[in-house]
Amino acid sequence: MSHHDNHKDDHEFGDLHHTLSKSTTRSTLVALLILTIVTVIASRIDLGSSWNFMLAMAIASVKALVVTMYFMGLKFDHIENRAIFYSSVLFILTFIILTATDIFTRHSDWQVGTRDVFLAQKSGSGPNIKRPWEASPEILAHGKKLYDINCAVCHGAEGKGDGPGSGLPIKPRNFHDAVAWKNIRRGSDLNTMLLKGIAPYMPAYAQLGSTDRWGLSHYVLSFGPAPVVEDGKSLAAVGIVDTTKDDGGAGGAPKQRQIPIDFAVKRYIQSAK
Amino acid sequence: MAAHETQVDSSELDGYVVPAQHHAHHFRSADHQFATAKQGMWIFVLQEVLFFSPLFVAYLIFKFMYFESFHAAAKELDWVLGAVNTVILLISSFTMARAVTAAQRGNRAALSENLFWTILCAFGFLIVKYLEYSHKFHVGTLPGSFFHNDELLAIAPQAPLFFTLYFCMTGLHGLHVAIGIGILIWLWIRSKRGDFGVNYYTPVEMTGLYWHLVDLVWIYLFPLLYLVS
Repeated sequence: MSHHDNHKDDHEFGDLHHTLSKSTTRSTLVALLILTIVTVIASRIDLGSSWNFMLAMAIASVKALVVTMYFMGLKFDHIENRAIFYSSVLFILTFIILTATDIFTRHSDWQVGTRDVFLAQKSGSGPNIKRPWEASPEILAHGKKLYDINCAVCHGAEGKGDGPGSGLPIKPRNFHDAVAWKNIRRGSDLNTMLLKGIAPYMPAYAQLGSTDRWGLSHYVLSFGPAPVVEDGKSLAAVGIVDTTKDDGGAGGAPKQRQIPIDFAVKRYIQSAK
Repeated sequence: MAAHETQVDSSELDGYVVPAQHHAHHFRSADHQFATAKQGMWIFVLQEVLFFSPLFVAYLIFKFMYFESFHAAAKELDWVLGAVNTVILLISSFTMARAVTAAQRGNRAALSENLFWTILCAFGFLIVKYLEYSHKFHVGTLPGSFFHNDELLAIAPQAPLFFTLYFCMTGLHGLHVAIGIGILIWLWIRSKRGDFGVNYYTPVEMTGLYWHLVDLVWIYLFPLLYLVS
C-alpha cells in the first residue's frame, strides 16, 4: 500500500489494513454454515436439557469467535482491540454467573406454574409438609428458614421491624407490636398478604409456593398473640378445600385449565414425531 | 499488508484517485487516526454486547425458573425460519467482509456490489421476521397482557413471559438490522460517488464491524430462542 504517509505506524497498530483474501473470507463463511448445520442437528439429539443447552452455547461461541477473529479481523488486529473485546466477554460472563449464584441458591419452591396461584400443595423443590395450614414444628422450622432469607432484612431477625434494610419512610411491621395484629389474625390472611404484597410498601412474594407461604405465616404468627382459629371459608380462600386430605384437597397437581381433546391429540402426534 | 497480492486500484483506472486522508492535528498520521477510529468502534462493540446482555440474562433466569413453560412456548417458534435468517445473516457478513476488502483495494465496483448484496440480505432478514411476527399476531402469542392463546396457556402458563422476551430480544435486534440498512444505503451512495479507496475507507470498516456484531447477536439468539430439543 504505497499511499500511506508513515510506514512506521503500520506495525505500531497491528496489521492495520489487513486485507482478507477471497479464499479466507469464503472459508470462513463455509465454516460458519457448517457450524450452523451442526447446531441444528445437535438440538435434535436429546442429551438432557442442560447438556443440549451448553452444547448449543458452545457451538454459538465458536461461531462468534470465527466471526470476530476473521470477519471482524481481530486475529490480525492490535492487541488492544482484542483486549477490549475479551473484556466485554468477561463482563457479560460476570453478569450471568453472579446472577446465577443468586437464582440457583434460592431454596423455595417457585414453580408458580398456573394462573391459579393458590396451590394447596408444593411443586418444585420445597419440602413436602403435610397439612401446612396447621402449625407444626416442621412448618415452623421451614418458615424460619425462609424468613431469615427473605424477610429478616427488613423485618429484623426477631421480627421487630429493625432489620438492616428497615430505613424506609414507612417502617416495616414490628410483629411484637399489638397494632400489627389489629386486622390480621389468621394464617390465611398472611398467606394472601404474602401473595399480593402491600403496595407500595411491601412487594408481593408470588414466587413462593403454598407450603412456603404457610411456613412464613406460621412463623410470623408466632411473634404475636394467639391467632384466631381458621374456619372452612378462610382456608378455602387460599386453596385449602378439603381439610381431611393432607394436601388440602388440591390433588397435588396445580389446577389446570381444560385442554381441548383435539389439541391434546395434535400435541401428542407432534411429540411422537 | 497483502503485498503479495496484485494491487489493483481501480479508482486510479477511473482516472480519479481517492486522495490521502487529511488527519486531524492531534493524530500523527492518517493511520494513527484510522487506528483510533477502529479502537473507538471496538469500544462501541463492547457497549453493544453489554447493551444486549440484560435481555439475555433475564431470558436465562426465567428459562430456568419456568423451564417447562418456556420449552413449550419455544416449540411454537418456527426453527426453520430462524435457521434461514441465520444463513441470511451469515451470507450478509460474508458480503460485508468482501465489501471491506474491495474498499481496501480501491475496487469501487466490487465495493458497491457487495454493499448492495448486504443490503438485500438485510431486507430478506426483516421480511422473514415480518412473516414470523405476523403469524404470532394471528395466533395470539404476544407479550404479556396482549397474549391470547388459551391452548398454549393451558400447557405453558408462562408463555406470555416467553413471548415478551422473544419480542424484546428479536425486536431490539431487528431494530439494529434496520438501522444497519440505513447506514449501508448511505455507504452505498457514497461508494457510488467514489468516496472510498485505498487511502480512505474508514466508514466502510466501521460499518463492517457494526454489521458483524449484529450477526454475532443473532448467532446467540437463534439457538437460545428457537432450538429446543
